[in-house]
Amino acid sequence: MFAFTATSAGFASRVDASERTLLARLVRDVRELVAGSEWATPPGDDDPIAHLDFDPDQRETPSDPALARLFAPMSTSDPDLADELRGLTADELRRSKLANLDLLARSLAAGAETVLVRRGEEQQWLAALTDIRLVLASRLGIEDDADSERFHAIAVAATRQAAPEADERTTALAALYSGLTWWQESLLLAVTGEAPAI
Amino acid sequence: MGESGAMTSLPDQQLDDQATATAPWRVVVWNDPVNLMSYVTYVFRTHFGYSHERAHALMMAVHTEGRAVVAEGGREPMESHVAALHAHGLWATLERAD
Repeated sequence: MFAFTATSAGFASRVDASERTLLARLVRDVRELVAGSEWATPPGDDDPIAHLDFDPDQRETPSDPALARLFAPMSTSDPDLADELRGLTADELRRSKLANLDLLARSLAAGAETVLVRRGEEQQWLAALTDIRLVLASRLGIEDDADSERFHAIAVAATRQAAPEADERTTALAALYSGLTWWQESLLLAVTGEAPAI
Repeated sequence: MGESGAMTSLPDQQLDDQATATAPWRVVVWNDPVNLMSYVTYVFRTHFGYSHERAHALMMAVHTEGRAVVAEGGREPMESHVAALHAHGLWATLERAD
């Protein structure tokens, strides 16, 4: 994939077919994770007793660490406040994240070689790329800047066909994370006008 | 009614001014290793309308100190800010100012 550049329609990046397929699969996986967050939906109608017990204000922090980060507690000092805010905001937050991911999926499915971020859609794009990177970082176990640098080094070594420094799954995730970090930064540079217009 | 009667006779506007002056709630943004420094600055600029200088200073405070207070005010607007920052992928919390 290439860096985003500003065009008359928005911000464009050349992405080849194999990268496009990979990105689309990743977007779909993250979408499934967010959509399938069982803690945010009431129990089904086949379980009337559980339905009576369901209290939307008492949703717990998701057990999946990636979901727990995407829907992080909105209070660290007051668990009751955190529960209350989760009840007030979880559905809308989930809708917003899904809408952003759907926009990415549509943009990736359209066009042949160029991915276009239309003017006005850049905030949704940047938010979706952030959520995807948060999920990848959680799967890699990135907890601080040193972890980020270590996985970046693994990704760089892999592109140079050097001896693998990690197992295949970790190397693949690190390459995706590192590539998306660079791609998001390039979109941000184009959006904030620091990249040359074509 | 004595003194409590005097309190209830305060005009609404004066009560509102008192609430604003004490800024009882704060929005705190926490550092994380995933969000780009440039993105955090961008969100502070676009969401709050802060100048580049102010947004950059707040981002640096988050980055170096682990957290920073980015807004203060009444509970409902601060709740909205927290939710909006989560929608952008930042980790924000609501705190009572004491």
